[in-house]
Amino acid sequence: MYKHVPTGVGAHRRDLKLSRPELMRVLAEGAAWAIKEGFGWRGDVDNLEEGGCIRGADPEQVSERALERGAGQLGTLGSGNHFAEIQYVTEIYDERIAEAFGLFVDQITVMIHSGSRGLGHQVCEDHLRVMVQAAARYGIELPDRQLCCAPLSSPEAKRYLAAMSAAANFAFANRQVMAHWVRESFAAALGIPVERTGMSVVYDVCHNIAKFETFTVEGRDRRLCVHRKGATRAYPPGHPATPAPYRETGQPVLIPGDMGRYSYVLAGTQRAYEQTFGSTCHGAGRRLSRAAAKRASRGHALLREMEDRGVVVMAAGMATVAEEMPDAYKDVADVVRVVHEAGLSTRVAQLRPIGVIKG
Amino acid sequence: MQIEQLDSYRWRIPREGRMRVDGIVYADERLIAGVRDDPALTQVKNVAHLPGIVGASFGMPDIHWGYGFPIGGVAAMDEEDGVVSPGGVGYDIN
Repeated sequence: MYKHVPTGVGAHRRDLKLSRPELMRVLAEGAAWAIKEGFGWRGDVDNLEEGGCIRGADPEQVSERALERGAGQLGTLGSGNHFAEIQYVTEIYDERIAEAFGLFVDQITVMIHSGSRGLGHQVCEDHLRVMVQAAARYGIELPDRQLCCAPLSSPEAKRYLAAMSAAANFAFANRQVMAHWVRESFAAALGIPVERTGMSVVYDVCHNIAKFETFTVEGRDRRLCVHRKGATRAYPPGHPATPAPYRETGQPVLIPGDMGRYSYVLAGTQRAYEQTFGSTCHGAGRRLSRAAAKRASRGHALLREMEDRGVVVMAAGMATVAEEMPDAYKDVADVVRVVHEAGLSTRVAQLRPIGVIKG
Repeated sequence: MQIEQLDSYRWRIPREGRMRVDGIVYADERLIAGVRDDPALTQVKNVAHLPGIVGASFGMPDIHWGYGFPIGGVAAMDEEDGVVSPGGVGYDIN
């Protein structure tokens, strides 16, 4: 898997280089582009948030600089907190929902955490600059300049949403391509055809996104632009946007933890729909800053310590491993307990890592 | 900052000044103690000032400081009189 999925800054596969027209199609079509090009199976998109493509994306609104950064980065993991992890199911908390999700104890799973890479970063940077001016132009008083924004009806807002959605589609395609290479890695290692790996997609969630969704507020249906930053959608049972196999259980929610402990799969609830615009947590949350984590890691043989825990870590650089060591994060079990007890999502399964790839 | 406990897992930052809605943070006593002096709670409050925000400015239990909006933040804006803010999505889009 480490050989097949490019990790770290600047890494990419020679066999996937996008021409400009192809990159524009990725931005318009998202995961569907990847499947059409042979990266995945036809049914995969059914189990991705928004079907792996946000409508309203306009590649023309993505700057030249952002396109340049994205051209060589499709199908790459990146660095920072991004990872690809081989895990196994250690615990099932809700048998009925787990069965619908296709999860059972001791099953091997793979979790991929990556996004829109440098392309998305550039889109954010480009539009922050525009929004500082827009906020002043529309007379919006802000307690913090970093909250710069524009009215949803303004051309500035429309351009940002179109570019941000295009970046989101790049992220869907990026994970789809990597998921395909993960399947190929398993097939090659086991000496079986890819189709026989049985590696179907449970779900794919966004956790840094703003998009229009409809909610009933005080008895009235309203279309709202829901900002989720480090937060995951958690739609309830019966919601039309939830794929048919999960209609009875609620949408699967993926919560990555740190690389030494565990991650979780949850299900969306009616209470989240009513209280938090269908949203829940997204991960463990940092306990130490990156710099503090690096300092704390000094004198530790991190790879050895991880191996003693039963986790093999392969990384492009040791600096990332230090920043991402388990002690740098809060215990994700504490976070998950709160959203479960508060009713924002239902705890379904716990997954423990055995092999981690970091950038 | 004033924070009221609503129930075992919800904490309210009451609306004041130019805030348009309350801030609501989901956490247990230990997690809220861990972020009490963190700028992330001020960010929940700041987001509550944005035009067209509906319901409340929310913080999830994994909340921590981010650019403008906290990481672990949720805000829903009315289509007609609300705004969109790139800080509410962040740099790592999707």
